[in-house]
Amino acid sequence: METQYQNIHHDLVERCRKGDTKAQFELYKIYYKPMYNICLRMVGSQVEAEDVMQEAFLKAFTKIDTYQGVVSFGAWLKKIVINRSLDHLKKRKVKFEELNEKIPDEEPVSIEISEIQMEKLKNAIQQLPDGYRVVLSLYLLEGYDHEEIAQILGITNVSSRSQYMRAKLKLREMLHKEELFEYN
Amino acid sequence: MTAMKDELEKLITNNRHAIQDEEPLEGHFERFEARLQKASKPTMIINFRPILKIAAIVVFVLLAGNQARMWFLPEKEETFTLGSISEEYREVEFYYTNAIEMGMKQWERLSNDGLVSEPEQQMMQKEQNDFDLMYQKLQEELKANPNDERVINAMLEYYQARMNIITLIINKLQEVKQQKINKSHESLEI
Repeated sequence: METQYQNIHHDLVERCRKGDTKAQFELYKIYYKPMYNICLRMVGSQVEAEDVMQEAFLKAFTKIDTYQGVVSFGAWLKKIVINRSLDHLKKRKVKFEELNEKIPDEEPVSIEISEIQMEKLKNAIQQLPDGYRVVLSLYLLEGYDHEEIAQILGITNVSSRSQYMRAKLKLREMLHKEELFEYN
Repeated sequence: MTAMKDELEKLITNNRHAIQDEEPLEGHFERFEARLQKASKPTMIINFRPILKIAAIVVFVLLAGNQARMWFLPEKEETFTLGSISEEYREVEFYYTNAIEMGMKQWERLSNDGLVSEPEQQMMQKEQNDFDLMYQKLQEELKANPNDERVINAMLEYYQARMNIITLIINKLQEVKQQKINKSHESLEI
């Protein structure tokens, strides 16, 4: 799949290498949405997310010569977007602390997905503290495992897990308040 | 971990696309286009760099060539005369040099007519050489002090003196010539 994905935009990428701004804008039109959503989940605010996402695109265009075509362009771009988002969070002095304490097991809950209001769920994720939101987004939305998250954030595997567990607890609590969860 | 505990995870992962369906604020395309244009400007400068380099090389070669020319051809110095100072002086210079030249031509004509003796010719030649030397000195002085009124006046006096002397000699020779003609007429009449 990745090879196919890569080939679809091969010409555009090649034109971008030559500094063709029209091709760069075309690539932006193709990738802005998934990249914006990554940024939004990571940095939290719409304005900042747009700024970080666009900066990531510009950064990607300036160092497009380093793109070897081993992974898809989207995957390569996604890495830059995540790194830019992390840089932005670091400016905000967000620390991904080492949390090694044991997190208590959660209460078993049953969720009726049909009853969930999507907007409320999105808002709840958005309102999570920065550190929690980043780990939860990378794990559940971007599909990274804890090993990869630990590498990206520069923390240990255990910390990534415990941060994620805390994030889930917090989210559950928030959703409960919003009456999105019903305990059995 | 229990199966029930993963309900929240399921909820999020199953609705991943719906959650990740946010659009940036309106006008983001225009904002990005503007940033793209702004960011592409340094590339333009980089493109100009080789041209600037070539221009610098051309200027350097021209300067070096000029310097070499000055080194190897020092004898071809630009002459500096009264006419180099201003347009008015150029006219004055033209008037005097023209008059002197005309005078010299007349001198040659009269000399050819046999009115000038050999010692007189030598004397005239010496006078002319002295004038030429004076002119060379004045030219150097003028080049060194182009705005010095004293040098300019000296140059003007030089031209006047040279012209006056030639005119004086020519007039005298004309008189002599006239006298000779008259004498020959008289002898013929007698």
